[in-house]
Amino acid sequence: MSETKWEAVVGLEVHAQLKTRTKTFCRCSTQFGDEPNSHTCPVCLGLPGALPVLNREAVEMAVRTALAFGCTVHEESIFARKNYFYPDLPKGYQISQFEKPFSSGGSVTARLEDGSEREIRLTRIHMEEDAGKSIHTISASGTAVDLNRCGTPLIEIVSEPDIRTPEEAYGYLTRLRQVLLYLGVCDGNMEEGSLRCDANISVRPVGREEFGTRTEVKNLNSFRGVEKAIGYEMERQISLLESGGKVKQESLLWDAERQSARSMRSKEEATDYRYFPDPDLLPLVLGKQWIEQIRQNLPELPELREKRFGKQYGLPARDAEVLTARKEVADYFESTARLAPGTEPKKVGNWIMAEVMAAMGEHNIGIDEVGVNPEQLAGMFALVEQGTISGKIAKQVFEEMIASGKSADEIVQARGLVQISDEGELKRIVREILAGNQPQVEQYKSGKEQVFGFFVGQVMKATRGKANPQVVNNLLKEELSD
Amino acid sequence: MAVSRDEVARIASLARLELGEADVDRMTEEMNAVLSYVEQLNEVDTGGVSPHSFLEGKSTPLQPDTVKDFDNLDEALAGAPKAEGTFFIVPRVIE
Repeated sequence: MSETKWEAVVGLEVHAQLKTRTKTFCRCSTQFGDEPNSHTCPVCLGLPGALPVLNREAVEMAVRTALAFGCTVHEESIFARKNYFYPDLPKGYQISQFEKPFSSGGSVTARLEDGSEREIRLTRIHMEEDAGKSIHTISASGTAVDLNRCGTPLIEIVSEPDIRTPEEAYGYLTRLRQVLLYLGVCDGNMEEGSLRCDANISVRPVGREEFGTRTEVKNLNSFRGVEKAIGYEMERQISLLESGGKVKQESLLWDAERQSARSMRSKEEATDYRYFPDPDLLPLVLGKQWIEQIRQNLPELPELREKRFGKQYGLPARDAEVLTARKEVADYFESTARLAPGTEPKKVGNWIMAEVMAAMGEHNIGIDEVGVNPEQLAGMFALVEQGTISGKIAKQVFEEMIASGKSADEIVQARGLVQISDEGELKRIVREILAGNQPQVEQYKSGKEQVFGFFVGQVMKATRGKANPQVVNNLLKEELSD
Repeated sequence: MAVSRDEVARIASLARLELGEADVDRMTEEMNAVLSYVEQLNEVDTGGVSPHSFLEGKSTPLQPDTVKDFDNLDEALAGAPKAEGTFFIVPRVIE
């Protein structure tokens, strides 16, 4: 067999639905899941004479995204008609941008599993409108069309063919989604189709400059799916080429269930969208001032925030990465750390990564829905710092805070969970325990020091975890050395 | 810049228009007549002129992102050849 080493050349096209309230060119709601066609009007139904007027917020969100990825934002851009016929596109054309998109260039930093990073260049980001939905199974008399989604604003983010492995594609998409969520421009939900991805894939021997023939894989509805589909398609192309075959340029549909791609029925002729400038829309002219204003209002982006978390809070790299993965979690951490100045930030972070995230995972909810806000969590930390409750009791208190929505203070008072630090009382308990466990005391005195832990455990049991561990340690040592 | 019969046939098929042989002949002739009329514009040198120069940097108007519902869905549905519930129904499309 051949010794050729192959590499993939992959470019990704990502469609992200913008989180505006209304559609791109009319003021129908973009609400998902409502009664079919309840959010339609003459503009998005494509009725004759209706004219499109661009949504200001959609423009702002698109520009925000482009600036976050370091794209060049062009002061003038043009909307074009992309012509094709499908029932979910009643106008017979999609309004998109073609020759003069509003932005070009830029890059996305993909992080790989070993922590290394790769810069993937962007070709462009442009604005366009979404199509509606055709449902083939609901009516016996034909295809049912719901145009609620028709006209929803999208941005298409097109990468250069810089991706070389399935893992890089995964890292690219993860970062892309993270930034879109930080910017608040897209909800990133792949199942509901707010984020969609197509991949252009070819392979070539390592070291060769020119690209091989590429295929386009569509219907990728999860990031792992994209990773798998690229791996699958790479292997298919390599074995085809190694056995003397040729890659045919075509569109493939990824089948997540079967983990394989099948050919889409090839169209009778090459796609010809006959793009031309939309005569219903003037060019979009973005003043320098507006662009600058959007730039000034960009939030702190995840890469920078992660670095700052390391520096400002002394967090280990891994903690900083986990805590900044989602903006709400990062915000939650910072609020709690600020409200609990007596607690080490690392400890706050640990608690969020363990207890809070466990609660999020268990109920599949966001951090805002856990039921304990930063103020309440900081209140619990304060009780630990004051020595009112032990760290162990804190876990119990936290669980109850989630369940009841009450403050840590209320729970501790109501349930009598206040830590026992009173030496007199603890000394009495320690003596009782030692008196009741003479064989273990003998063992300890003969040098078997591991038994110490047993005594601590017994005291904790007797106090239902409320004894101050530090005081117990000291008392036990004192009593045993007598 | 003349259009050939083949191009007319191709444009017709992209536009999902069914043209008979005689129609193609007639359309080829008419399209060429239109094109040669417009071609006169080529006599003017527009090399340094932007296609939007007449707009003087005007931007497309923008509207606020607030919902303004259209409340005549019934009539829109009534205008379609076929509807069921609030769905438009079109001849079955198979992918």
